[in-house]
Amino acid sequence: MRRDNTTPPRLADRLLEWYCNPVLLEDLQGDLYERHIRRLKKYGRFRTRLAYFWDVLSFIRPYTIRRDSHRSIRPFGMLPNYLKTSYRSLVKQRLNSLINILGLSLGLSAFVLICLYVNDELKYDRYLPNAERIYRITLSYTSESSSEHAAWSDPAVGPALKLSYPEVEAYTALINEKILVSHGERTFNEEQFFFAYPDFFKVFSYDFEKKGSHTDLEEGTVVLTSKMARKYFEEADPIGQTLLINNQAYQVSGVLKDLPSHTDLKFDALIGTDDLSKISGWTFNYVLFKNESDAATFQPKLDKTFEDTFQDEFEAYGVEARLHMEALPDVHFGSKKLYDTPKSDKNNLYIFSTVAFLILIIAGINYVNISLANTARRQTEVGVRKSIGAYQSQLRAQFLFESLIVCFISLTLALLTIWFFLPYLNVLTEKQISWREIMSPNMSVFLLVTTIVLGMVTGSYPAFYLSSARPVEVLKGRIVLKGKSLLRRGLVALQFTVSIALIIATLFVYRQLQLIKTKSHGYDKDQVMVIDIPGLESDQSMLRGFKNKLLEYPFVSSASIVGFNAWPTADMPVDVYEVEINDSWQLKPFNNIEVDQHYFDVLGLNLTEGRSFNANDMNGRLDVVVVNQAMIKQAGWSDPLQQQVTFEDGATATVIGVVDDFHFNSFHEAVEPILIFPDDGYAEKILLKISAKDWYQSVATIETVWREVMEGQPLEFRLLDEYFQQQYKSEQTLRAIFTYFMAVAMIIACLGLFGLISLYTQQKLKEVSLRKIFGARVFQLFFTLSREFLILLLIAFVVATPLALFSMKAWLESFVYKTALSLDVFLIAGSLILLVSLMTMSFHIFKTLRTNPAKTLKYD
Amino acid sequence: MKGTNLGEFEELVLLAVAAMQEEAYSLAITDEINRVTNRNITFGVVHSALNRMEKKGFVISEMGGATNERGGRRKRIFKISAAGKKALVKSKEQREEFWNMIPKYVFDQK
Repeated sequence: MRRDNTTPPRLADRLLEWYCNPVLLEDLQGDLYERHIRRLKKYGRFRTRLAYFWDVLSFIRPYTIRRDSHRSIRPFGMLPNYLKTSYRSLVKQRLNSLINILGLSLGLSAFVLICLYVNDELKYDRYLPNAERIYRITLSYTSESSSEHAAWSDPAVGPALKLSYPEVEAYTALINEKILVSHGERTFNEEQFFFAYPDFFKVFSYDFEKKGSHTDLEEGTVVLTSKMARKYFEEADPIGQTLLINNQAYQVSGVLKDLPSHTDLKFDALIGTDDLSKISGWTFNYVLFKNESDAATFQPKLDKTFEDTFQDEFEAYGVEARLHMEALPDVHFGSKKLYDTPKSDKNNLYIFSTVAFLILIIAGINYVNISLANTARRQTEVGVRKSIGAYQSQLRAQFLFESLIVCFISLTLALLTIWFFLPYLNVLTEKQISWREIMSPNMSVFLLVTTIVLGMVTGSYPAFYLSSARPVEVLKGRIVLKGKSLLRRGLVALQFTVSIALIIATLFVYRQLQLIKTKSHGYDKDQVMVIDIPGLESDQSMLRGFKNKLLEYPFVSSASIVGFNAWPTADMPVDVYEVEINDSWQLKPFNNIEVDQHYFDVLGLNLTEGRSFNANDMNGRLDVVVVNQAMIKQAGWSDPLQQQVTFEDGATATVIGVVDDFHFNSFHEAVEPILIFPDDGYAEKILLKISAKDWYQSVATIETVWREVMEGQPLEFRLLDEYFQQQYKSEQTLRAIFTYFMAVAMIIACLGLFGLISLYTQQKLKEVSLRKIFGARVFQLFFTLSREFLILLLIAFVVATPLALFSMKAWLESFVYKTALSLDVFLIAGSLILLVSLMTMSFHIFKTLRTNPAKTLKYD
Repeated sequence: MKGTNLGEFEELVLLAVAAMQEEAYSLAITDEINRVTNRNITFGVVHSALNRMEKKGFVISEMGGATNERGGRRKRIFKISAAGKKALVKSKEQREEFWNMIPKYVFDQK
């Protein structure tokens, strides 16, 4: 029919044709057309068309809806029946169902735990409303010999940028210092009190719990976090009260809600100041752009500002420097810079996610494999169902439904497992992931979707395959569907490839950590206490007095007062010196630390030439210096003891000793040149070497002495070993997680193997019985039954080895000292998996071998 | 037996079907009922009542002629079945019985 103005709306017509039962369609549509024409004469076109839509919609009623001929009239269709048969088949094959559910729930729980971890990591510093517009300004500097990138830059950077460029909406800078804070009777040493520019809250819009009249962080005011407010003021209202910070009065102008745990910039309080450079020449610098897009084109402007304002200073020392910008959300995963906030390794996240995914795949394979191996049992059911009139699509739905049920049971179990293991994950990763996180909308939807996809994917192959059985042949008793052995074998090999690769990787991570632990870093880290020195009121004589008093006790074998970041594992300060390098005088930045004469004893450092400091050197003149071997090597000194090192101000120091190289920092870095100066004037820590066995008694004694000398200050200390472990934290987490993953992967793979071998031995029962009658020995029969799997294992081993080798090589790249990729690791991994799988298989194999052949062959 | 009962509204529709003969298709029946009773019954209600009664066996239907304004689609012409006639007669007799029971004076006293 020709369509013209009088025809009803096409869309409505289509809808009608789609839903309406064909038997009713013709005359109903005719009636509606007639009505439409009639209406058209009375009303406007629009109203008529609208009415037609309404008519079509109002005819959607139970009796008009089209029914596919094979679709059931019952409201839930075959669903109740599927539920019943699924239940029956699960119960009937108890062992296989158990293996499937255990495997899937283990896999899912490992997967979900890692998702929680990754999810938590990705949240870092993204919660601020304008996080995308906040950038951190960092500084890199390069000289001929070294190149560093520091998280800090000059506090004048922010003001300079704001002055020149309108797209900079606000800036702030902050730096912490050790300070003494008191309110009334309460006095504490604080390390996480940051001095900051007044515009801090324009950049970082943290939530206030209580606020005074000022919105800025004005000079002379301090903003506390809720935790600190309670510490100093308990229940009282802190607003307007006074805190003495380094004996200067500051007014509390606000209380922040405690910071969320997903931030690397953790501060306890902010102290307002207009001139940060008085506090430090190096600060964390942040700018807030007006628009997100401003950042993309800003680097040249940053360079320009640097050239105009800061470059001269650096050039004078022969150092090439540059400012960089780093988006706040990227800081957490960025490369670790000097003096940086804590970092996370994005590579670890990738590794964990990959492994979690692989484990889920292994678990899925178990399901597919066992259902494929079970084909023979299910095909009779398929045949019967088909002959009573089931459609193939219905059977597919039935099998998919069954696998969905299995997946959801597994999910429930997995959630229980996670509930149990989450606290351990939190301890391991030093996080506070809440159980409630799983219930968050994103996570729960993600979980549901993952489970449904898992069910669909694992269920689909068996579903499509099994439902294709032809009823006539099945019911005649012919076996129509063979258990697709090639696919099954491939999947088993894949499972074992993943397991073996994980074992190898785990073993290498262990080896590398072992290397780190046992290979000496060149200094003695055991039994060394690192005591914090409070920032103020701890003058030289007091500290020396403390030290000397302690040395009188027999359990203190030596003690050393050290300056800023002068204890191993810390980021050493870097300054520029003029040094004769390869017979020419050059300005270069060098690591330098300031320590007293006992530093070498405490750390057990070995002097190869010259002497270490004596008491006379500790005069604050810094006219002598001890260097390490790396320094000599770099400078090409043939006679180091005659060399001079010149400071910025022209003063010189003579090299009086050479110390053996030691790994001040982790094995991720090579040993760098170090200049060691004698000075205890700017003391930061006291290192104590304790030789006593009774550790607690010693600490108690030290504390008494400390309080006596330091006028009641609390003793705060850590062990050098703690600092040492800290620098390999990421590797230790990796090792722990890999160990668990490896175990989970092996358990799942073995579960699958266990299920498969039980079906396999049943199929081979007759063969074994016959062979037994003909006199085969147990050993031969064992080989007959396990041969297929042993070959698969071999294939998996051959595939896994290069994969593991390749990835471990990449991982070890980040270490200067690498463990050898030695053959024995592969052999250990190979024999481990062989042993475990033989043990897994032996249960069913021996069960089969013990069967009386007469019983099996009786009916043939 | 439930389902073979003739409802009040169904009776009305059935009467219309019996009265209209060859012209008894859903839309025309709706119009006719609305004209006679001066009510505003929707097409959908009549359509579903017809459908229901066909299932109960009170009406039978066959496809009739097509017109241009129906887009060439045929009408479904409903006819009253034997069971339908019986049900109508039964219903009429029941009513008459009541009519007969009403004393004369009920209507005489005005």
